[in-house]
Amino acid sequence: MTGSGFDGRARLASGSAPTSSAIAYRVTVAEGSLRLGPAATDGVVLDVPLSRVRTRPLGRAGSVVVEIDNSPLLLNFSDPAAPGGGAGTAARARRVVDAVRARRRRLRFLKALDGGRS
Amino acid sequence: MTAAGIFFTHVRSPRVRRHFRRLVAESRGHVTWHFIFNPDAGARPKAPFAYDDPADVMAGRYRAMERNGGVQGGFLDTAVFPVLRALRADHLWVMEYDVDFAGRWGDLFAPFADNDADLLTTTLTYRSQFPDWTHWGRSAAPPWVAEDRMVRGLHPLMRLSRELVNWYPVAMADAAWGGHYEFTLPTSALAAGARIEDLGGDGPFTPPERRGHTYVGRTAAGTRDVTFGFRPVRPRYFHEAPEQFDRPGLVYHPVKPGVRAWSKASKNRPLRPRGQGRTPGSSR
Repeated sequence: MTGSGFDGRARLASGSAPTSSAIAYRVTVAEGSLRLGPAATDGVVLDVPLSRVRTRPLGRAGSVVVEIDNSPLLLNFSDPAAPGGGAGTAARARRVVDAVRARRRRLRFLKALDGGRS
Repeated sequence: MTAAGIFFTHVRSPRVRRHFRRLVAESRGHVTWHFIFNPDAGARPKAPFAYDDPADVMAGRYRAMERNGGVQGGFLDTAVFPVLRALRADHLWVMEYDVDFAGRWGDLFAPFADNDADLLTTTLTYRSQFPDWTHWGRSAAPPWVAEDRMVRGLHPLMRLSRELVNWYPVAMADAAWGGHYEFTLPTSALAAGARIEDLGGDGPFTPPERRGHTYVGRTAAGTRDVTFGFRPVRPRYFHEAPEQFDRPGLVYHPVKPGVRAWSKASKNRPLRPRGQGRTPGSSR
């Protein structure tokens, strides 16, 4: 994260519905723009002014729908390396910790969007 | 690496079915194919599996497709990408019904099994190399995409990585993109840092070892002996009339089995509607 903007990672896919096709991206909010780039390359997939970005937080931990020009993208700030399964106490605790961290990342991302617009 | 493919057609005639069966039989072990039937001009083809709503997955392009009156003329991506996204393979082939191969299909796909390119397609050229392309006039990109990085191709036969199947719809959320997907797909892929290669031919994205292989396309020098392009139209598939395919081991496009050649007037309507789709369809 940066002081006023946001520089982190999220799994995302186009559309507003959860999908297993989401993959990791670099997510940057800086200088009045939202930039998305593949985690695997140094290229740019999307770079738009924040004035064209709207958000709809979801109930799911760390998820948010970002609308660019009325086209939805679903971002999930959960740690992709975090364990998804397991019924034991330790596994449940790890999921809770990951959910809390994801909510914090989402909050920082949303604040950066709001701050960048003002 | 695993590979799946969609065979995309707006015609479901016995001739097209036989063509599909040859493809499946001869490429078994290389690609798992799915028959995708798009009976009208819309972007909701019939697939043998569920896929996400195209109006949600590619909302901006979907609206542009509706304004266009259908997928014909550059918006086939709105039908193809939601379907591809539902498949689980590492590499995803897309083949339109009017593509054919003068040989055994497995011989075409096997050499690409270990290739890790994000986009394999045909006739890739930079804007400066093909300035008279019909669709440049309505092509548009975000301001951060330099004009000398604008690329167009011809995609009746292409292969995409799972990553590119994700990147492209995300990129198209930006309404600054516009025009034919022959332009938006390779140009946005290049901007995303995707690895792009030509399947063959003789262009700037053709690897040296494939130069002159796979197909003969339009080049800066002209359109002589083209096997894969807008014209000439072949009326019969290779399995029906192999003698009409004078260069073995190459892919051909378009082959129109009882279907009018594409034009703005015909929009791929079948010559005879008996048992076939009757409305504008998928190819080009």
